[in-house]
Amino acid sequence: MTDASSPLNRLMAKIEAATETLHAGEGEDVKRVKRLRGAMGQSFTTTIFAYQQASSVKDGLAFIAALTDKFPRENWIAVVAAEQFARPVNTLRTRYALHDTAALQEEAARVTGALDGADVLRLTRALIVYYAFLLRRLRDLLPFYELSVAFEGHKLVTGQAAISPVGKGIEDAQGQSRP
Amino acid sequence: MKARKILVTLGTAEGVADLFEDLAPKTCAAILDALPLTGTINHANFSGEEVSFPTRGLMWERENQLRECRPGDLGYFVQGPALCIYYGALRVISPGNVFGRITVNLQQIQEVARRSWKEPGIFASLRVKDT
Repeated sequence: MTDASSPLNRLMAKIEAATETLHAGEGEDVKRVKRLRGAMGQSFTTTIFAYQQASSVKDGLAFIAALTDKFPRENWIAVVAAEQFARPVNTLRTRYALHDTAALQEEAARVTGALDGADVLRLTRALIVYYAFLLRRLRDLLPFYELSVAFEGHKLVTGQAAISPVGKGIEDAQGQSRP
Repeated sequence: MKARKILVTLGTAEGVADLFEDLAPKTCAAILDALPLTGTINHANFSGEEVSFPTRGLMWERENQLRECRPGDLGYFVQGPALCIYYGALRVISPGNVFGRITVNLQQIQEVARRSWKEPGIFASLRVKDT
């Protein structure tokens, strides 16, 4: 019988609730990312880097899931998983204000040491699903169509102006192209 | 055996899909067990004419993964996890478990799916079709 009060099951219930929140709407973490501002008051880079950071964490989780699937009886799996869960906590919290996500990662790192391979896999997969929904909400903040149009326009403008840090393509006063 | 069918809704368009229960029995069973599936779609950035929305982990096994899909094919992307609608020309990079194909009203589904590149967040659902 499943012990609902075990640390793992309590955490699984939290992850499930957080996933459901993201299925239904933005959730507090995404709202905080929307309010983030970078060094120059900008929000585009903070948003896209938050998205990229969450994507990197999800890739790390996929690695742990694959490893656990291959070596379910190895004790070192829990050690590796705990390290992987703990690694992004500070960045998620302090750089991207993903406080709820960081708390889930932190708790996952805390409980994992006592888990066997099957439970590490169960926990990791629950986190992967959570990140699938978080990434979708973060991606929804980024207008890829408008960004794509703007970027192509930007390339046209910079191409015509021949601007680059090393001056490649800039014509000199006599109209000669510099190498 | 006659293929079971499901309803696929994208915005205002509603299509009907045949399930590939012979080619992807485990995926079809997982999908049927999880219906209704709902979400808001985003358009693919790399693979071509494909839209998707995230789902719970319905299954983790790879089954009937195809790099050559036909317009209207439905996939369950294990690594997402996500539900994918391959609505047109594709250059599949990471294949999903192909478990069905939209056979009714595909053109309407395609129009909405294509529009989602400019208008993300269109509602999508997969539901049981009453026979």
